[in-house]
Amino acid sequence: MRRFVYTVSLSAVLFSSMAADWTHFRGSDSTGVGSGDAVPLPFGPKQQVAWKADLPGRGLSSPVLVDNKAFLTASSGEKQNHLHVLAYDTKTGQRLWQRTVWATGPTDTHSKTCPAAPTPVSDGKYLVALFATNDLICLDLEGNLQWIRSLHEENPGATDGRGLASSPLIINSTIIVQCENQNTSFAAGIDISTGKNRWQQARPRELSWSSPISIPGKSLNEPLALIQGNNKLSAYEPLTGKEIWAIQGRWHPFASCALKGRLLLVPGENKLFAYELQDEGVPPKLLWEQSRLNPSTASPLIYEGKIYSLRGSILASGELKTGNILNQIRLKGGFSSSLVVAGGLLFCVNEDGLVHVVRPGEEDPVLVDSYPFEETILSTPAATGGALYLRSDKHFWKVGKH
Amino acid sequence: MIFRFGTFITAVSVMMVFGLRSDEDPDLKPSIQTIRQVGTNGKGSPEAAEAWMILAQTPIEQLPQLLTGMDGATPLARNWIQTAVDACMERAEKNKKPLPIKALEKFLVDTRHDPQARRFVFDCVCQLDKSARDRFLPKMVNDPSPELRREAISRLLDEAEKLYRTEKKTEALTIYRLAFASAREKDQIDKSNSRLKDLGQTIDLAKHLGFLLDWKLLGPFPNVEQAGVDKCYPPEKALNFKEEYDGKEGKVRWKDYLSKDDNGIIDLNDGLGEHLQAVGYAATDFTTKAACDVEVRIACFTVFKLWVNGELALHRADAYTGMQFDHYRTKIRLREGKNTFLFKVCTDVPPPQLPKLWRFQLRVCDADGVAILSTKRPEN
Repeated sequence: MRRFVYTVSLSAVLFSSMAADWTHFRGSDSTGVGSGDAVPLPFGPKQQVAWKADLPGRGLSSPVLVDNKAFLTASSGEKQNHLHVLAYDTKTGQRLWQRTVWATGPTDTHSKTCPAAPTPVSDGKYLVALFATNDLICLDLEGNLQWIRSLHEENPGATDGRGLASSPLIINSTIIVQCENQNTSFAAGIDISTGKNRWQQARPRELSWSSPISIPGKSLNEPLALIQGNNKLSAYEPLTGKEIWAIQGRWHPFASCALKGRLLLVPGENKLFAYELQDEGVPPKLLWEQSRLNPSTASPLIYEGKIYSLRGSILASGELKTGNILNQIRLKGGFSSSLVVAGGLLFCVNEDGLVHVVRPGEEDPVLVDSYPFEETILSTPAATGGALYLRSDKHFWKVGKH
Repeated sequence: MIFRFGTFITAVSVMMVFGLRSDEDPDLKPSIQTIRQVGTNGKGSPEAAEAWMILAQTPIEQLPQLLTGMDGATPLARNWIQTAVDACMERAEKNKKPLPIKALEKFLVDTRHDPQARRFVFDCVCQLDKSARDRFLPKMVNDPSPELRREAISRLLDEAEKLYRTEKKTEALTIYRLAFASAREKDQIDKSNSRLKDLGQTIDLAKHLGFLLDWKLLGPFPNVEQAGVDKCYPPEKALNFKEEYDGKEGKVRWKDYLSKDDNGIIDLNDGLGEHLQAVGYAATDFTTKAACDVEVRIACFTVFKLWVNGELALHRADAYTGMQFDHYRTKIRLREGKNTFLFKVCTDVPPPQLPKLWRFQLRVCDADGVAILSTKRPEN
């Protein structure tokens, strides 16, 4: 009963405070599930486009939406060392402001990615943008600077030649930063109002691009920060950095965890693991594991009692309770973008910018249609309020409701 | 909202103290000074955020003064000021106030100003005046701003290539020589070097870039599952080039190795044979007339450590990210006379699609990338 109350009240709090907002990587609660109506079909780069904006640079970061503003990061320049934080009016697509800083850390990355890989995060009052260079910037929603940190300068060597990509998270005014690489790995909790560290913990020295999520702690007001490293999954108290529990394993270096109530899905090196979260201090209990639901790059999604996971170009669905495979359909192309769902439709954006629209269905997922945007899209869209927000290296689209 | 209102009140209060209206030239110095005090771990941020609100209100006519605040600032403080510049320019655009173009051009040509601030100004000026690139770039071939220098050399190389293709080879040669001498980035150096060779010139590229070519190599030592990376093998305790050691597959001794490669590649597969899960050492001396600060720039395909005069100078564990020129950089102080470099290169089993390279590239240069040569450098 306590768990039921927790689940219901957590959902109520999240959805009442941020109904149409999308404040984080994969939405305000990291589930990838948006609120509001469905995006009207069909759509495309010239159909149902509320607006389209030019971007000053590349990026794999997702848009976040707060208070009728859309925020995005980008990087530009020969060495991708000009780092931009951008704000747009969600009604008109007009750029409201742009703040640019110079990278203080290395900008070397794999050619597929760039410094603007982590998605920014907002608590509704502030916007926090992290770049793969470990430049961390806090602004208010009007673009007024609150503070900047050069986490690279403070943690020399905390970088990787392939680039970093973990998106920060905010829990109870603490920004959770995960920086895991083969040189200097750490996780930190930073006070959003001052920019000072509340804590910093060493993490395993292996590259991880997965992003932290918030999971239930001992009460609704005391959630934990779950950090998925390459070989260590840890739950931390966000205010103190105290490690509450940890599980050693071979976890996925790219895909992030998914949560529904107290059921936690953890992508592994070869299998997807389902855990039931236990009371404080006790590591979660393994429920099942399933190799055919483990994703390639995109994070898995939980929707209406089912799991959806992209393995290469295969969209597999499985039963949340058991991990049993239900069905799978083949889509086109490779996927870096994670799955999102809104208005009863699932959106899978491939790397060539082809947006697959899938109807989850009672048993089988059905491909409704595919709409080509004909630009490389590696970022996860925001899907809320009857609109889909997509970004490539050049453009930012709002598709759907004006 | 409370914070924003608070900062607004503070900004207004400061303006009242200074007796300013928003359309008058404020004294930017106190706010710039406050911002320049920011430090690590958020140090000075609350005060700097208030100062930022004042700077963001800078009248557009005062933009060069605001940009001057970046001169000599830390990278962190420079970023604070840069974002205030953004806010200032946006306000001017909204109010349809023109940029002070003449003052900005004056700022641009003064190379004492911060290189990144000047780069920013260059972009602003070029947006407003299509002729600006042609007016400014010819004078920027040796500019202290790496980005402006790069653009100037890029323009120079285009010019030389046109002359080369129209058989004006003497004129092309002069320009390629200038580009080669001035370029600091590898693609531009390679481009000009290649054409200089086509034009019959003999270039010692390795010397031009300051690659260290003359090494002694030792190995292989075991490195199963990277266990050798942090294992202290004998060369890390003392360098004795006459000693024999137990290696991975029997006794090993130091061997002389002189790279003849234009790009200064030290190939341990060539010097010690092909080995996976192995540790190899390379040692060399670097002699200077006087103590000096230098940058050591490295490219390495696998995990490595570098010691200079027995002190660990750099350790990188992100293997298989490619051999990019100048990928890793570290600042060190060399002492007068002989300095000893010890380089440890650790191979694992590379992913199937990657080659089994066991190699590195190391050069000594100044902060701008200009080679600093050992006084006892062997000829390539």
